[in-house]
Amino acid sequence: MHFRKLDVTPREMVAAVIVFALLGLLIYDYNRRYESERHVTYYPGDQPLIDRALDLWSVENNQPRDEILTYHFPVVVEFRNETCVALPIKAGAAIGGTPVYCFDPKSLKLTRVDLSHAG
Amino acid sequence: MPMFGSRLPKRVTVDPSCNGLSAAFNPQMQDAALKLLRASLDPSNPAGRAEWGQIIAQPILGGSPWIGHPFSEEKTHEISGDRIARERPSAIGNLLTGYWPQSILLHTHPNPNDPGAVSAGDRNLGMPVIAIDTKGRMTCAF
Repeated sequence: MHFRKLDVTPREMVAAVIVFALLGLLIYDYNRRYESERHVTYYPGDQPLIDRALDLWSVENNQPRDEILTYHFPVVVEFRNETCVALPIKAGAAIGGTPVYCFDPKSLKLTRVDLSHAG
Repeated sequence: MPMFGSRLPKRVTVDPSCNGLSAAFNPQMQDAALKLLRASLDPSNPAGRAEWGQIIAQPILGGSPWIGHPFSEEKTHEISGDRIARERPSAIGNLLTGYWPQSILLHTHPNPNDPGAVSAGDRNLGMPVIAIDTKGRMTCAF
């Protein structure tokens, strides 16, 4: 089998390298943005409530606390007099459900627990 | 231990969500589900109860389903996808041994909430799932 030699000038070669480098940079940047957006699911100010929910779920599910966010992600919803933290399972990460813990936002006192969709 | 022993369900009730999934109606599989529930509610589990699972494969030409061994991560509400993947035979392995390539996950919902139907996490596992709750009710997602 005979392969035809590519007739490419050095200038064209440099242009091709630049085009591929730009393409690579675009893909890298897109992934980096996507990753950072995906991981921001709550405001930093909600961290104390999320910590309380993780503590409670760790006991309820007999699961090490630092392992929980491997399988779940926190979602915070604010109501008039309480703030609720749901811990849904990341799709495909595990079988199970979504525990919901609600707190008084001022005292951080637990006001409600809903495990009816917790699996 | 209010749920253990004589208060365990003696038979399975199949929810309409399982219509179309023949494994859910197989007597051997239902028997396995009740045994799995017993293991799940056994007080010897570290937290008094734990979610247990078992992989099922359906035969292509009739006969008995293949039922894997029971497994658990000793968590009360979940089993990780990694653990399930380790327990699950490969699609090719299933085919070569006469079973449909897609395995099914049977698992327990030992929590006291009623009804303990398949959850959002169960529905998004990426394989057919059967859940049995403490009343012996079986629900499916496939």
